[in-house]
Amino acid sequence: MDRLTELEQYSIFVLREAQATVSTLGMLWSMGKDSTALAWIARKAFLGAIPFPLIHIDTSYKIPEMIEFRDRKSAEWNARLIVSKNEAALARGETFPCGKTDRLTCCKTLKSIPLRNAIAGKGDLFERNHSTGHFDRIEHPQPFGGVIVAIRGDEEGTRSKERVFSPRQPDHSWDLEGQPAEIWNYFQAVPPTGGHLRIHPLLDWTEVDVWEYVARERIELPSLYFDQGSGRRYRSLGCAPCTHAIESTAKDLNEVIVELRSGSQSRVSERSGRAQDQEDGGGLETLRRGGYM
Amino acid sequence: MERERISIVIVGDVDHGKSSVLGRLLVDSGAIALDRLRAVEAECRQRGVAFEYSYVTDALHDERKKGITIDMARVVMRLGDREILFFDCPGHEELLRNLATGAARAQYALVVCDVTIGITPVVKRQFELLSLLDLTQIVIVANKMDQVDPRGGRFAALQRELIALAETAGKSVVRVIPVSASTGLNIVGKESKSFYQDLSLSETLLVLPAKPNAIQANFRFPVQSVTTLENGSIVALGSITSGRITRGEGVHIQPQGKPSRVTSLLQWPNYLESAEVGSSIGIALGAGVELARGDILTGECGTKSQVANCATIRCLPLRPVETWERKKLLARINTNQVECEVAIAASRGEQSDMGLREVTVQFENPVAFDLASFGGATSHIALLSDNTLVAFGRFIAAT
Repeated sequence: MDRLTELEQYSIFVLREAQATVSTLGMLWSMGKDSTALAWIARKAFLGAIPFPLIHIDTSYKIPEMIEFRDRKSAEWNARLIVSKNEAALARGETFPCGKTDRLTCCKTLKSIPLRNAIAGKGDLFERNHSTGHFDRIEHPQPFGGVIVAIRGDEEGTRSKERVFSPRQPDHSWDLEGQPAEIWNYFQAVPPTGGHLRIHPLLDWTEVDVWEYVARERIELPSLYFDQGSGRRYRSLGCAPCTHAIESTAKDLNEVIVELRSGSQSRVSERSGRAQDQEDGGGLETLRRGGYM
Repeated sequence: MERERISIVIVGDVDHGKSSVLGRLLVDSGAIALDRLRAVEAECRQRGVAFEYSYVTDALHDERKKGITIDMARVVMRLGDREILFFDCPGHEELLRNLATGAARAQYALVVCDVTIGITPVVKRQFELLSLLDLTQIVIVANKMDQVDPRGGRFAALQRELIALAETAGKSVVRVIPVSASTGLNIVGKESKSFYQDLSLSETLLVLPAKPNAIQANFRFPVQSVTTLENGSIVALGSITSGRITRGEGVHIQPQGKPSRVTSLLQWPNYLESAEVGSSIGIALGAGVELARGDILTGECGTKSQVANCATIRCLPLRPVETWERKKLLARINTNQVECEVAIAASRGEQSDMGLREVTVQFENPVAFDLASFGGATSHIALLSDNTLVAFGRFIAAT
């Protein structure tokens, strides 16, 4: 069995463990390459039908093409799509682009809080009606016992220390020093009282693994990842004000893979275009201990 | 050519240089992103210390401040035409659960031992842990060679002791390499004047076989969940932990022992003729078959799995034994969960409370499993108390 197949088969195993042992699951989907590849793996794991809703934490600063991609693909897969927003903070303009907060506070306000709300089953939650294309407010949302997140260990330091099943406290904090043992495939499937589990099926994958898998499986991605003639493309997709395109002329999957393996990007880390990382001493430790994905 | 991947757990006592050896390997072989390297350089300057190789993987603020690894880190490096997944683990005795977390899934162990100190009680305990795992081969590095007389007998003596220790744990030693994380000796580069002219660490990692464990012939498939197709056929979802299966073959559903037949093999969106170990598939068994999560499908021929109410296991406690013996525990045997109670077998002399133990487990219901000599996932067992892992090990007898 080749390397990519091994990684894929293990991720399928993890998804099936989550579905069989954790009550009320959801999966975070940012429309980036990792979570889009994971959605494809979830379809494989459950014979074509994703059994849990996809959750998008919408900061309203995402690049418009990502939103079009989100709505079109979720309808095509016939998957439930839940969107969580911090509407009050957006209305008050308490954001970095409005000049009222710094980047890290903005990440907390527009990402960590709506994530917390979505998991707790409160706040501004909407579900897409695929036949009308409208987003209907969810009146009585359910809390989630577990959320599947497409983070990888090679992205940055604290993610390299994650468990496949990671318990989170009721305030979403991550007890990094007290993580449970995870031996063989005995994942801790019971969340702490009032807390939840984060499930990480892609922890062993690298950035290049994901790209090679996307190419092999012919998975559609937003075209922002590719140079459309401007000599720039995105290596990592986030909010428009804090994510910078890199200089690259890679036009398709094969060119991206060559560039990452041996070209101009082979010795630059993936999140070098994410401005909020640099504000945390080169890592995401403060944000992630507080519940950031 | 498709790149291969191997996985390696790094084992050794605290401060013997596990993270430094790995950091040196990453830096000297050019496997670290330059912006990450610059960030480590800047942090070392800020702290007023020389370049600290362990910072490459010890990413937490506290780890750098205290100079120790607190929790296991996954580090993937590209070396030549392969990808190596390292589990860099803490050496502290009380952090054995974190070491076990990394070690359980690795194909190889890399043992780092400080040549100026030698084998410590922690290293012995770590070898006990290794003795419970499926990995069969280890690579050893004797670190801090720059601090001893290179022609002295220190290295040779340590080499003998470590090989003997590995043999006791049932592991074979690929090579013992004298290295220095601080000078880089034999990590990537070699020194022409050195007494050691065999392969360096990076050269050794390049020649380790990608599939070190022999493929078992006997089919095992712990059932994760069961679903029904529109045509009424029952499909077991799971991963093959041993052997292979072909469409049309007969299987047994354990522990009930009921026979059944594979009508089709699903790997959405495809159907397969056959599937091998490591495959996550759906096995369709026709209509009306009764099975559930926790059951194991086994092959019609070959070694039969054990089915028993009571078994002897060899296990490593992660919590003191007296806190969980003779209490109601939860046993996890692959996807199966069953209540059980443990009676401690005769105490083993001077052994500490946290040393390797043989215990008898009485299960609430009959369970299916394999013995350690069979190998693989179906011989594993984990014991939990209040949702916390208290011990893990392998079956050694059905009683």
